[in-house]
Amino acid sequence: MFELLQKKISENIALTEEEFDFCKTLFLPKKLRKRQYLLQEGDICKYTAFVSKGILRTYTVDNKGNEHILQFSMEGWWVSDLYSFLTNELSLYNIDALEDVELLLITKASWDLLLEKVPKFERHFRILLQNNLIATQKRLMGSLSESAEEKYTKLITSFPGCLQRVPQHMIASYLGITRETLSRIRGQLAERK
Amino acid sequence: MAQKKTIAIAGVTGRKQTIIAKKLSQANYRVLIIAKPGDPLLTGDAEQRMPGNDIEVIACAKDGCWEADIIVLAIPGHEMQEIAGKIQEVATQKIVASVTGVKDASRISSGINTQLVKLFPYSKVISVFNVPGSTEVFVTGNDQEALREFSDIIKTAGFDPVNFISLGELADNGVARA
Repeated sequence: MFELLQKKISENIALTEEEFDFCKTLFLPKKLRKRQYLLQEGDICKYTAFVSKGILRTYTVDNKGNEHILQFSMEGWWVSDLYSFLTNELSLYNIDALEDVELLLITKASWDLLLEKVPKFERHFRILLQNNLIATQKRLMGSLSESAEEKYTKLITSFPGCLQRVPQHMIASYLGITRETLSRIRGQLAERK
Repeated sequence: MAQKKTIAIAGVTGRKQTIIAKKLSQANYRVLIIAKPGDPLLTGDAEQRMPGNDIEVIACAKDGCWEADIIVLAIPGHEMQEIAGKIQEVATQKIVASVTGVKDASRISSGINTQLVKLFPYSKVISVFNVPGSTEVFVTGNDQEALREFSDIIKTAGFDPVNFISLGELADNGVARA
């Protein structure tokens, strides 16, 4: 249950067995079935979740009922609405499971306790937040300046596993293009091979 | 829109189980009934028995408690250790409530609380004592937020929770109300 979390943490910091045992006591293990929600718009995001198994999406729904996918979160990733989690304000996002998922949830209080008792985690989470900021900036720049084909090519290069696990209409929503445009791009790329 | 929480219930059987599960389901909880091998609920269709309710019968205690946000154990004290061995690792940070029947309030003992805290050291342990024939149930626990949340669940199930003072102050023989 905790093997992947331990592996990912060890990429940034070295914990003693005792420190990791303490860390484990702060997480709430949770299974969600496909289509169940981790977070719904209008709720306060009480947890940050580590994905041990499965894939989730973070999305908003506009006034016309269209879904806009911000992020897919796969094994080894963290998922949350950080703004709501840190400020206790209502969330604007929905997070649901695209497959049956296994998560490790941590509350803000437990997270603070972890940082206080094992200060090494400050470094771990700083690195994660840095990486998240870089990825967010890249995604913002991409959506402003890249063509649909460039965005799609970047997605399949960065997250090759994602395409087999996520329906095409969700890929289109993530890229901010229509299903028809996505289908045309895929066709063009296939022809060039 | 408030998110639906999942409650896993182990050990309550028969008509009482169905009524409580239905009430919780109608109050926007998803209910997983953990049934023992041979329980007629396992061979039947829960949806047919309880149509329109978000209730499921599940045989694996660990899987049920892994999915749950709140775990209710209505099982005898001598079975507690066995089930703890199965579910302890998936119960961390969750509300784990034990339900014990007592003849009257004067029979309430802190023994079950002590046992439960040892078995689930990283869970939010709640002890519930019910007197047959009465809607009043006595509730105690060390985590005040968990106690409030579980008291609301008890009300939803059709009972009147009476909160004790903390577990540590619970007298071995007798009820000390807050």
